[in-house]
Amino acid sequence: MKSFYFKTFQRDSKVYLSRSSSFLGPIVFFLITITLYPLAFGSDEEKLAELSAGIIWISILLANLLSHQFIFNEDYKDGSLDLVLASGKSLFLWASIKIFVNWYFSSLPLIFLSLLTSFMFYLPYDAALILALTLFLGTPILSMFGALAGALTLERGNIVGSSIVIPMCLPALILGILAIQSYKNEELFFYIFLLAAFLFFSIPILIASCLGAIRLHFE
Amino acid sequence: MRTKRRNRVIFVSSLVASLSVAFIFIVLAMNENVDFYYTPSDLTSSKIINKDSLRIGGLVQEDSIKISKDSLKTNFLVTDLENSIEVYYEGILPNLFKENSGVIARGFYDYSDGIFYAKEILAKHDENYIPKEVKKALVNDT
Amino acid sequence: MKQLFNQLISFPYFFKIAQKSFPYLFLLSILVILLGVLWGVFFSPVDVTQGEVYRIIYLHVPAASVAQSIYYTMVIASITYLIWRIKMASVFMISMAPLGAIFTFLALFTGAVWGQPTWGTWWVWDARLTSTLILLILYLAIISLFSSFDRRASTDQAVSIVVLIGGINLPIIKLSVEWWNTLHQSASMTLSGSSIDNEMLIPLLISIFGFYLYVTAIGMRKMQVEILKREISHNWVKEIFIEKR
Repeated sequence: MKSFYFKTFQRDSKVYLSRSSSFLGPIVFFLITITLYPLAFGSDEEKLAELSAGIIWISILLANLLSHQFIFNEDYKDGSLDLVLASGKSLFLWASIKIFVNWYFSSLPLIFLSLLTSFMFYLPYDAALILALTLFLGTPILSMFGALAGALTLERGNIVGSSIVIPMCLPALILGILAIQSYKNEELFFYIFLLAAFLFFSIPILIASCLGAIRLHFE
Repeated sequence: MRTKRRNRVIFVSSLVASLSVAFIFIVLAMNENVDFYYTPSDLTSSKIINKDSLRIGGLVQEDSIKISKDSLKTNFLVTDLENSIEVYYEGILPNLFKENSGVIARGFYDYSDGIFYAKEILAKHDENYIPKEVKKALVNDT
Repeated sequence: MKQLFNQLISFPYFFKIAQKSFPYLFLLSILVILLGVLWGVFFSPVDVTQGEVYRIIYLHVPAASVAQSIYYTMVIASITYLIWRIKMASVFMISMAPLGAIFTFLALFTGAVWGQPTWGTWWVWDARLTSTLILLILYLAIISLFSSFDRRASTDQAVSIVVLIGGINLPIIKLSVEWWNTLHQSASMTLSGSSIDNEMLIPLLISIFGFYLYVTAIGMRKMQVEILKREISHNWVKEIFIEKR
């Protein structure tokens, strides 16, 4: 007998894989946005290398916004959210799993993709690795804030959610980009540690507020 | 009731676990010695700072500003009262830029000729607000 | 003490108090602001480095101070609402957010006017400026949340969650922006003392006090409107307005 939490994981993964829009949507969006930058700023090698970290980070942040509404919205629509709330299972664990699956299918592919695309922006190899590391620490934060926005606007997924997420995500963006920019200096670890601290600080607080936001639709 | 308590245990233990990991990372970060801004003494000391872009701050040394007449090229000395560094800048200077007042320059330091090539100059006015007459009196006293 | 608190969070009682005290408070605040600003602009001495320009401090600093304080009080209100479900707290948040946005904008605007002659630019992407801009965005995002729910209680809860998360996040945003860039001078006034000369400080303090009074007065008025919107069908509202006739 598999546990409830494992089944949640399995089911959500299947849903993501079976629907190309939720899986490929962010990837296509990411690729098209990063293509816009050289078209807008010109293909000057030096300029692009200087901008590359920011370009990739911002594109991933925006691409992430696309997948937020999938986290809780479907469960809300088909009524399974009611059942979970009534089941007496640990909602905290359940929400963590759902957010993790969302991150796994929408952000992880983007991290690998960003490693590939960083060479198109002439980012040095070392810096590209740091970029991947900062994204690895930063994208879960984006997913959690996105989940919160999605949970707040369950009834109608609207633009309000995104406008709340972006300002809140700023520390992750700033620390990530600072780390990449100082990839050969001693400050590097200062920023990486702080980014990690921000991540672990966000986990319990954001997931708990997600649950609070979900509950308000059932009061 | 039992499930409720178990759920609470799950929540509280993960709360404590991740907050303590966050705390460990903050401590690790604070152990890194980081300079966000350098003084002329930092640059003239033996330790080499290898950065494409850094900021130095200090006071503009008296009688050190040389502005070329036909272009926007400026040379001046930034001092922290112990050491000073020559700064080269081409562009329009802010109004508050004057001798003995605070300045921040962003650019890169060339160790071979010992000149700081600034890309940006910002006058930093300090947090003190003093009336003109009082300042005069202060100067006369000393 | 407890009784006073209970009375203040009851809508009819608060409404009556606010109705009575608003004219006095409003007039007083206008007078105090005029006193502080006029004293500062016409009678306080000229600053030694910045000259006459510094006088915009009498608008800039009070506006910035009020803008931040409003957010912190909103955080306190959001905690109150989330724990004790006190409706007055949500009325407070919803009434104050637009005021906060206005004063943040005023702080940014006067800051830009001040920055042009002193720093040589209207705007720099400096820590203090950037985090104030983010504060403005946060206020606007909170305001835009007001209309995204059908039910009153959902709006209240959503707003308080966002205010609280923003409140936790705001210092972090500030710090991270500070690592990123800093130019704005450090705080002139701290608890231990002030680096502003007394002749300049007194009108500034008066002006700050006036701004707080003004926000209190207008905030009370806005809360009255919000209460009326919610309680329009209740008897006590009818009683008040029938009595008046």
